[in-house]
Amino acid sequence: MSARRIMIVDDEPDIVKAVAMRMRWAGYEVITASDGVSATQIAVKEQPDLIILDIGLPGGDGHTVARRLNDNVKTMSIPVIYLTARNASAEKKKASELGAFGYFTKPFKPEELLETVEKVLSGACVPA
Amino acid sequence: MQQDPKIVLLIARDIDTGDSIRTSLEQSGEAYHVVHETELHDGLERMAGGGVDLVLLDLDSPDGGDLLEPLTQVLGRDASVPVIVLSELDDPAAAARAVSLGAQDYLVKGKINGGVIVRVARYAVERNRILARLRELDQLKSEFLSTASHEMRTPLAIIREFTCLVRDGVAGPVNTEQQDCLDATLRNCDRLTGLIEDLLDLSRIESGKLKLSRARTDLIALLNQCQEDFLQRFESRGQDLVLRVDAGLPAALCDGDKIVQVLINLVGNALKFTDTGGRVTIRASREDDFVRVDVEDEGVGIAFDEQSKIFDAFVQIGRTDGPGARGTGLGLTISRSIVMQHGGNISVESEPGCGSRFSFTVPVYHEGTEFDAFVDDRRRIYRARNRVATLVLLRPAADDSAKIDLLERIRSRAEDTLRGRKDEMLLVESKGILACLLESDRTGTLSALGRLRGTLPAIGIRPEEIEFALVVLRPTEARENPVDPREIPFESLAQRPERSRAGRQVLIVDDDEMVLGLVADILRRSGLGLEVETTMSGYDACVRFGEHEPDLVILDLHMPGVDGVQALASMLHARRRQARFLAISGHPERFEEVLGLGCTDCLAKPFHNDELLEKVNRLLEIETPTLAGIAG
Repeated sequence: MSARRIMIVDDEPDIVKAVAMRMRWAGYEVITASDGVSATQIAVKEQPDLIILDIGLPGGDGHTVARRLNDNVKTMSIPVIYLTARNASAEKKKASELGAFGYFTKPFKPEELLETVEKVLSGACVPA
Repeated sequence: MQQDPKIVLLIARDIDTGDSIRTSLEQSGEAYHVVHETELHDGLERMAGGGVDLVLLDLDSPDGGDLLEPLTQVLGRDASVPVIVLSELDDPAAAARAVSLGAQDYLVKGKINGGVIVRVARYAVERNRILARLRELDQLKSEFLSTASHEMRTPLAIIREFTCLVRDGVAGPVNTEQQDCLDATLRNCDRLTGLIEDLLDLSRIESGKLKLSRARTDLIALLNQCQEDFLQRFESRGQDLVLRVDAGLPAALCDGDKIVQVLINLVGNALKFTDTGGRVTIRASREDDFVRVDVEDEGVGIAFDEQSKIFDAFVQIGRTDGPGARGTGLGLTISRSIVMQHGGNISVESEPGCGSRFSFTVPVYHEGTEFDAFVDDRRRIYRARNRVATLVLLRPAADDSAKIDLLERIRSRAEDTLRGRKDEMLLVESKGILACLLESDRTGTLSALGRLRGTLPAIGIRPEEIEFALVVLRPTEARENPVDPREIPFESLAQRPERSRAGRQVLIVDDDEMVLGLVADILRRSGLGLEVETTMSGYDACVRFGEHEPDLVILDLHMPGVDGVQALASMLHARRRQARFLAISGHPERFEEVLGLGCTDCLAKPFHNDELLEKVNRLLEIETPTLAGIAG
């Protein structure tokens, strides 16, 4: 089975780097984006197997990106996991309404994130 | 040095009163210019023009009615201008009410002379200036704190994650000693996170801004979740966590997230102070009109003389060794604040050597009370922020069995079009209404309702089927008046005019602060009733556009970061309604390009006010025979 591709979207380069390192070590291929506009464009073009998404992004926040991906036939079935500094329940609710498969707040436990990623990619998960 | 004269607006029916006050002020040697209006509505109009430094309001009116009603109207027009009220009524209760509503002073007409007026005026203006500055500083502090907290989480996450990566061997092999070092780093990362959250909670509490969002809550579910979350930690220490809930425990009226915070604090403490092999019991029962939760441990207990201090800030008692180490001493302080804000109580019973029992209560939920809590919680927030907010109540015109269903359907539509914040909606089934809060005044809210009305046909609802009512919540108003939906007049949504010209939204995007301010000013003073918002960032513009599409976007093509053309393209792509775009630029060469992309019109810098307004009028399809009313 070819390597699964994960797209990481965060405007903070160090977060992208850290999460990418963790994911590659776990055996996944990684592509990245740092703003809402390119995140959407790249997702449509590359169609990754999973997206790890921050909320606070320039060019359209994470929720907007998730909504746009849901509306696009090429990306509507790509699972999304949120990874964000925001912890308000309103944000979690919004993420859940948009069909997110997980919601992690920073600082996060990498083992938990990895576990969720693995579960989602193996198809054993339903949206949170 | 010649001082600018202070504009005093005197609103008084009686000409003689007016003349005598005007004379006192203008002959005082201090620079006052008095404008005298004999009718309240003329006075209010004059205030709308701006530039008024002080209002002297004669409350006495031959029409009768509530003495302080004119005061409410004046403050409603502009709460930032100091108001001194005058009345023949020498009543300390009336005076106290006036001041609590927001007046700076209450003068009794028979008991003042010219000198008093001048003094009172001077102090009122000065006091108001200080108050305004204090409010500004308080606001800045809160914004800083909330931004800082948010900002701190990301670097913490980064530090933590890179430490983890090295410890886990992702960056190469590590020996045991190195792992231990990194584990220590990680533990303290987590402590730091806890500390930051605690400090911020505390500062929010102390400034009265703890944001509660009360609703009907099933405590049993909360307690079960809490037990589940703590299970692993208890098991690893060979400890027991037992839950005992009374049968038939009623639901509570509380903010679930905050109560969970209290539970985590109490259970966490119990865990920390109980030896291995011990047991912690959580009980939930009904006590009169409250739900009571007890967290009992079999730990070391607390000395009697320390029990009274334990809820104070930064007080820590007992173990400084052992797992969990030192906390901040803020957990119980925060828990107490949360519980008390709910109208409940928190207490401790303990005997050294036997264990401790921490108990707290929250009110039982009664049908319909969540509405009062909703209004109250939000009033507190907007009052603290010194902003006007409007409560909108929607209900079906016909009282039939399908009404809740109707409201549910409107709810998601309302979230988009009413521009309410995501968590500012409440469906109150018991009262058959959908309540939502908007951070705008009456005009802005009516215009938003017009938008809502426009989207109803898309979900198969006719405007005649819905009624609405508005309650404006002003920060200067006393908090006490409850809102009773049965006593507010409702109107049919069908009667609301179609989206009127007034209330058209314009978003201006320009990285040059001066140009931005200038354009915003021109539009605001144009008398077209436009709602103008501004931003200096193309990124921010795109985000806002996505959240709520304005009617017109005016943007500068050359900005750092996301360049104007890119932002334009992004917004054009995200456009769902018929937003128009006006590009401004000092380099007209790019106009052809952007027009080709779909931009509606262009304007070259430098431009004259008239040119801008003409284009705006046309783009928003506003017919104005003249451009009268333009400033400057």
